[in-house]
Order: sequence, then structure tokens, then C-alpha cells
Amino acid sequence: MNYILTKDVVKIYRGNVVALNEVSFTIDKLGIIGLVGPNGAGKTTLIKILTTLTRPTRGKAEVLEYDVINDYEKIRRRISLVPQDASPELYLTPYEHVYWYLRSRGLSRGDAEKLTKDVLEKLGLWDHRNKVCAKLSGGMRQRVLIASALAVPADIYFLDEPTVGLDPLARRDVWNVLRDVSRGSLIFLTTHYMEEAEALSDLLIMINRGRIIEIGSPKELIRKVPYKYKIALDKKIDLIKSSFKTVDTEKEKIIYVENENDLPDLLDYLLSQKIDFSLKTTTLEDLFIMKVRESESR
Amino acid sequence: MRVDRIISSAVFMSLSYQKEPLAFISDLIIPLIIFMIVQLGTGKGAESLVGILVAIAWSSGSFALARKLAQYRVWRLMDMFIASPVKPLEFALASALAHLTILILPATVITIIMILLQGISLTALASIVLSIIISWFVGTSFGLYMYGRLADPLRISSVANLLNLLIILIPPVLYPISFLPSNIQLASIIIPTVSLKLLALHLIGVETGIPFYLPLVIVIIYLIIFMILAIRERITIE
Repeated sequence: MNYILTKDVVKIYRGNVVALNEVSFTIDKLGIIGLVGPNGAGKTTLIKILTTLTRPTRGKAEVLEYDVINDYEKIRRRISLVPQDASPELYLTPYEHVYWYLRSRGLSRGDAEKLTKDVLEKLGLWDHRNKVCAKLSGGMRQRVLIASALAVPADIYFLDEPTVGLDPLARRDVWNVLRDVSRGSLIFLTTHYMEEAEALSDLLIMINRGRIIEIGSPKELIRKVPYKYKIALDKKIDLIKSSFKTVDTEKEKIIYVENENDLPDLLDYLLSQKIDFSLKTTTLEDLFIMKVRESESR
Repeated sequence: MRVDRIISSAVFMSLSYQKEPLAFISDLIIPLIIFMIVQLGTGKGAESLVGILVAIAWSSGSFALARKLAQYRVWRLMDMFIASPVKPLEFALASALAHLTILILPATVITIIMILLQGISLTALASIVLSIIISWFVGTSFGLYMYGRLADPLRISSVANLLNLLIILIPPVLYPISFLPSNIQLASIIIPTVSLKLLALHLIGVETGIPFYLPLVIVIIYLIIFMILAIRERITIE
């Protein structure tokens, strides 16, 4: 079954702003799908199209084999969403928020009570269930939203940057719940954190400027990183002679080294010049940075 | 359309008001001061009380509803409701129903004052309830239209403050229409809240000096216009 299918999806907003440009992919297995991309890459637009909150300008998009335009009501019955930058109803308690959201979706009183208790316990909110959201920290409010969405018995959960603002421990709690939920459902999540995408995703979609720039499992993608090591140093340092691939990020300059034989000379040089640096093995983030730079230079 | 979804969504939206059941008192201070001045000065306080009922029903249906919907849009809670089995029409009905429940307490207080002031028959009481529902219904149609046009809570607040002045405080809603010269009395009927108040007064058997059919026709015209506008500005999928 194709849980999600997009074919040449284009979304153009007013003012001729192209948010998505011929996006095509198919998801035919359950699990966690990570959508990563820089700000303005088109992640939220894609989620909005798949959750039927906005229409594609062109192309075809299907969720659970239903068309997002013609069969949107059928899709809405079987999905659940945590929107980006959302806020819970501040004068409701976490319990009321989750329980009444479930009831509003048509769940019975008994089911709603059970599911509310389960999800609040899993997300560490049970002890705070009777405090109004206004009195909770930002991270806890975010967890209330996640709890409201994940408590729903749905086929696909769409989570748009769900862990923004959570501390590392709370983020791990959410990851555990997501892994648990993904055993019988599909989770489609966007994130800024590559570490999160790598740790959680069964399939990763990298997107930039409305186009898919890479797609595959984390294992497949890590094999595509053409360099084994990277040396990060101050962005201002200008290497006089460098045959290595370098990429400038916001904070630092990264030198990529393909094999370890090249390392000694480079390290000697940096040490002799008294340049501070760190040596690391490459990760998916490096592939992401390279691909984003490539797509931007086209 | 499913009633259980509408009621549950309405509870979700109204719980925050229920947490502050006495919040309405601050909203009633100015109208009650006007009522006291009118009562002490002319003895026509009952007319003011009817005006207060119309004003709170109109406001909770229009301004409060539009503000709440805009807030839900900014908080993105509306996205969570729309991307769910809750249909846009169900959501709109739920939000309207939520704002009907929040006017129960202040309306009860005003009605009790009215009973204490001059005593009310059961028929008149039923007419008061009917008047509140009509005012709320017309206000709700306007509120849905207002939300559709403005969508932003700050813009809605500023427009609501202005409209509150123009259609509730300045015209003869909280004070008797007889305070105005006769030609202005007739002109003021064009304002929906004035017509709603006159209709309510007729329903409970208070003589206003204005024929019954005039406010009735005007209320019906407003209702049709606001409903058409609200349907045109309905919460769509985009």
C-alpha cells in the first residue's frame, strides 16, 4: 500500500513564491519518515498539503491512497497532526486538552480516558495533568500538543518540528513514544535536528528550496558521504594551499578528508600553524550540508 | 455532521471561560452603571436591562467568537481540528455553541435583576430567552464573517472595540430609545443591536412607540446578509 504518494507536486503561493517544485516520492512501508531541510525549504508546505490544509498548485498527492483534494475528508479521519509553532489552549489542563481533543474527534468517553492516561504517562505529563497549560514550561506545553496528537488512534501522524524547545531528556522521551507509535503506524516528521532525524528515521527525505535533494534510509545515505573525516576550524582562517574540499557553515569552516592517509600532513600543518581545530568522522549532517550547498549553487 | 463531535469541540473551547466564571463582572460594570442612572432618573431601567441582554448576546456571538477563532488560528489549534474528522461546519457550530454557553451566567444575573425590579411572567421570561438566542444568532453570523475577513486577533480586537462603541455604547441600546429625538429614533433602528433590543422589548410586551414589524424586518434583513457573508467567508480547507 502506498501510504503517501506525491508526483510532481508544485505549490506556488501568492507573489509567485515557489514553495514546492516537482516533489515526487512514495512511502510504502510503516515507520518513521524524517523530512529535513533548512528554514523555508518547503517542509511545512509539504505537511500542509499532505494533511489537506492547503492544496497543491499542480501535481498529485495521495495519502492512504486518497487524493488530498477530492478525498480530503477520508484522509482527515485517519491522520493526526502537530502543527509547527502551535500552542495548546492555555487555560486547559493537559488532561482536559488531550481528553477533549479525543472526544471532539468522536472517541467514546472510555476510550478517551484510557488513551489520555496512557499518553500523559508516556510523555511524563501525568504528574502535571491538573495544572493549567499556562503554568507549564514551554517544553511541557509542547508535550501537551504532542500528547494530544499521539493519543489519537491514527494511521499516519504528521509532526511538524515537534521537539523544538524540548530539553534533551524530554526529547528522548518523545523519541521513545514515537518509536513505540511507529510500530503500527506511519510517522511523518519534520525536524531541524539531523541527529534526531538520523536516530529516529527509517527513511530520510532531504529538501531544499522546494526540491528533494536526497532520499533514502540513514544507512544508505551515510554511504553517500564521500569523505570519512572532517576537520572543523574557525571560519576566518584562510588555508593558503588546500586541495581538500572545504565548506563554510554559519559557525565554522569544515575541511573534508577522504582517507586517513591524507590526515597526518594536514594535522601537522594545522598544529604547526597553531590553529585550533576538531577532528571528527563525517555524519549525515555533512551529506546534508553538501547537498544543500550543491542545490544552491545550481 | 455528528452532534457528539460538535458538543465535545464546544466543551474544549468553552472550558477556558468556565475557569474564570466571574470574568464577565468587569464587562457588566459600565452597562450596570448606565442601568442605574436610567432607573434612578426615569424609572425605565427594565429597558436598559433588555439592552444589556441584547448587547452581551451580540458580543459573545460576534466579537468574542471572532477573537477566539483568530486566536485558534494563530495558535494553530485550528489546524489540529481541521486536519481531523471535525468538519469545518462542525467546528464553526462548536465555536458558536461554546460562546452561547459563556453568556448563560451574565444573562442569568441580568434576568434576576429584571425579575427583582418589576417581576416577569413566564411568557415574558420565555420571550427574553428567545430574544437572547436571536441576538446571539445574528451576532454569531456577524462574528463568523468578521473572523473570515480579518483572521488576525489584534485586528479583530481593534475593530471590535470600535464596533462596540458604535453599535452598543453610543446608540440607544443600554438607554431608552425615547431619550432621542423622534427622527433620530427612527434612524437608529438601522443599527442591528437597536433593532434587536426593540424586538426583544416587543416580545416581552414593553411599548416602544415603534411598530413591531420595523425592527423585525431589519433583524431579518441583517440575519440574511450576515449569514450569506458568513457562508462566503466560511472556514475552507485552505
